[in-house]
This record gives sequence, C-alpha cells and structure tokens, in this order.
Amino acid sequence: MTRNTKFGIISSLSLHPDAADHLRALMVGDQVAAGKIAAFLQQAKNDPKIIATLLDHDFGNTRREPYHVSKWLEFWNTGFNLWRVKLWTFPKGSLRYRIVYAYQPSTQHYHVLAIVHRDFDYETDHDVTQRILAAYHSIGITTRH
Amino acid sequence: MTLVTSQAGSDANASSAPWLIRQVPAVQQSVAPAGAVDIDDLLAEFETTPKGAKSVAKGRQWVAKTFYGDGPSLAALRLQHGWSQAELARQVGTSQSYIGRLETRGIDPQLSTVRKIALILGVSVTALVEALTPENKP
Repeated sequence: MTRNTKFGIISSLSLHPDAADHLRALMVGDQVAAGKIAAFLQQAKNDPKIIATLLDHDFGNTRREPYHVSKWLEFWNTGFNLWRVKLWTFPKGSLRYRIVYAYQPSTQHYHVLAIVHRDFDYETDHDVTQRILAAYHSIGITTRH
Repeated sequence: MTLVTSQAGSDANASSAPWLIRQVPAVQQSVAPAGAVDIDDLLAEFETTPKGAKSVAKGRQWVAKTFYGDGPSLAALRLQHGWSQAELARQVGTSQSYIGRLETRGIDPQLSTVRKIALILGVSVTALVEALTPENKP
C-alpha cells in the first residue's frame, strides 16, 4: 500500500471557502462537471495513491492517467507551493474546469483554493489570480525564498 | 491503534518488560485549517437535493470507470453505486474509517463482514475477495 506519510500523518485535503463556493456555483451552472470534480476530490482524499500523485509535476501528461498535474510554475519559481490539476475526458479533451490547490509540507495538507474555467490564462495580474493568492496567504503557508 | 513491540527506554514499562506489546496511535490524517470546508461535508450538502445527489452519484460512477476501470477494487464497486465511504459504512453498519482501511487494504476483514458487504454491493463473495486482494487474482 502506498501511503504518503511522514511522522505518522496521512495527507488529506480540504477546500478553502472560496473553492467551496466555486463548486456550489458550478453545481448550479454545470452539474455534470461539478459532480465529477466533487467526486474526484473526495476520492483523492480517500485514496492515498491519488493524493500522492498530486505533487508529481506533469503526472498524466500523456493521458495514460485520467488527470494531469502541473505546478503553477510562475509562482512555484518564486516560492509558492501552487498546483493545478486537469481532468481528462475520453476519448479526447478535458473538463472545462481546473482545480487549483496549494500544498503545505509542514502539515502534509492539500488546500483546494479555486475551481477555475479552462479559459483562465493564469496571468499574474488577473483578478482570479489575485483572489487565489489571497486565499493562499490566508492559509499561512510559508513561501520558499 | 497499532500494536508494536516496545523499544527499550520508550516507556515506563520498557525496562522491566522490553518485549511488552504496547499500543501506539495509528497514523492520523493531516488537520484542515480553521474555516476550511471538508469535501465530505460539501458533498453531503449537495446530496440533500435530488439533483445534487444525482450529480454526485454520476460523478462517483465516472470516477469508478475512469480511475479504477483496469481492475477490481472495493473503491470501484462502491463508486459504481454512486456511494461515498460513509454511505457504504452506514449500510454495512460500520464506520467510514473502517471502509477506508478496507479500501486501502489496511485491514483484513472477517468473513461475515465480507459476506455482508458483498450482499450490499450485489456481488459474489468471490468477486469481493478478489476486489479486496487484486494482487492474488489468478
């Protein structure tokens, strides 16, 4: 059994209130996508194999896995522990939404910060980006410098 | 709880009985920060409406097919029904953490439990045993 453990702690995840609101809104606007994202997040919390891959940059890039994990490199390179996951749909394409999350090494906790539309361009000065960064800072994760 | 052999000097009894079996806390899940929303709670909120419950169930079936389609597993059998671990636990009459440990093969269930879960999931005992121990599949 693969367990992402350190000092007797199993990794887990929770949603920042902003991300929970995004999912609630999606449950109204796109129930199919919301159901898939919600079920994925719950299973990621329950399955140590899934949650461990959420720190594996470029995991699933060849579509041999059902999702693609990526660091948010622009911020990662400045010390932020920020990631996003894209859920593939088959035979081609992906869900219209991305899950943006942060990882806190000291507690081995994943914090889902936002559910964003795939058209979001991750520009650093975008309003959505600023809200994600505010959520990140509110959690109190120490950034690397 | 996990049973481990006591290490010398690690507790008060160790010097007199170093072979003593003592109990230590099992691994614990990392703790969410204050104000965070638990995904289990959010899905339970969605499942209070028929439409939300249907969306979540379909999402779980999608996870079963997409993530566990290559072999039998308890998680796949559960998700195919659109159930959370908590829902299966409720039907079996056990705890969510017990189902979680079964799914990650951290526990060896009694035959009576296997029979009960198989009945609830609508599969044979053989199929469930295979799902619980896929590495032993012939």
